[in-house]
Amino acid sequence: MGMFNDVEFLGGFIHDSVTNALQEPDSAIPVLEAGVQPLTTIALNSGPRPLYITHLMVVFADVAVTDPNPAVATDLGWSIRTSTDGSATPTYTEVVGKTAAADLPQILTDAAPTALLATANIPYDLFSFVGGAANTSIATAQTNVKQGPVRIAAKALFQVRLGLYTAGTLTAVTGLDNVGVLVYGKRV
Amino acid sequence: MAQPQLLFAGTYDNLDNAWAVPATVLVGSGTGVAATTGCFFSGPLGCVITDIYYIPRDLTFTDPNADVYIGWRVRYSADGGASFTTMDTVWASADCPMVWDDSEGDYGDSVLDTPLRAHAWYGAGVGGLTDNFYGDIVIPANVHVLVEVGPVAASALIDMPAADLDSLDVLVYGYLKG
Repeated sequence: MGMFNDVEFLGGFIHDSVTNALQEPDSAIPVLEAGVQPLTTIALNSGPRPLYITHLMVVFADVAVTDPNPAVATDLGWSIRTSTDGSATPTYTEVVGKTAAADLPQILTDAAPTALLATANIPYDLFSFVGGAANTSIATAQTNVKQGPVRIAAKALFQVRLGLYTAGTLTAVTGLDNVGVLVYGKRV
Repeated sequence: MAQPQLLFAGTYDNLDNAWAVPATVLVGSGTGVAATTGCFFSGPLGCVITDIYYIPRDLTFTDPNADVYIGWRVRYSADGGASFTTMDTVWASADCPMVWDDSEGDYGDSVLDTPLRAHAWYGAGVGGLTDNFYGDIVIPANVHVLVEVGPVAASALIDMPAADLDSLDVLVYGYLKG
């Protein structure tokens, strides 16, 4: 367990498929401090103190997708959500979410609609695209992390949802599966 | 100085004349993400490995009729796991804890279910928990990190007589940069 400003791996999520909905993860990657909450949804516990998410990494195990018809440029949107209602069927509230093209990495173009712009199994930091330019390829390194740390309250459930967007509107793509989300940050 | 964290833990089976990768990942950044089995991610800014521990969970194996040590090497991949670069390899007899002492006919430095601090044997070290004879290993950002172990002696892998040197837990400590 880290202290104060140490960056830690806070946990992760796996999405079996991502398409035109802000989808909840299908499974979670626990860490020692925060196990997977055994509820009807997939989420991790924040722990006894708040935590700050500083990097949200995405990893694609499979970069091949089915050619959308019509083919459209597609961005990867995300939403960090928490729940504190203590319910067995938790209700989640968005803490920070991004859907606008200028805040998201582009992962698919209409010019090459069958393979993601990403390299398989390489982590990309979603925070580094926030406040950037629309249509920025996920493969284009963003040197400055632009999304500030996202605070998650103590003793809360948190999860990361993913969805596909074109110009800020949800869009469907078939075959985008096995997407991993790695959450890094600091416990306070 | 950052506080040490457990960066990775895995179980290694069937240690023989090859560098072994984890058969089971217990804890690690990215565990369960497809195609990263056996590895952990170094994190958005990289990480530093400060210690490697072994925990022998099974010390029943066929007599190798030779001194055998447990060596380790640290590798990383920046291309999604397609190819790996070796950063450090420690396999000289004087740098590693012994798992079979042939002259004594016992397990040398290894005790069942007891952690061995591998770094503390480096440079003719004698183990223990206070002295660290091996320096920090600095890993680049956003790469797969793979810690491999193997039965070694005199900087060579040992061909064990049977595939029954198994159930070795390896714990990797250090910290993420940031």
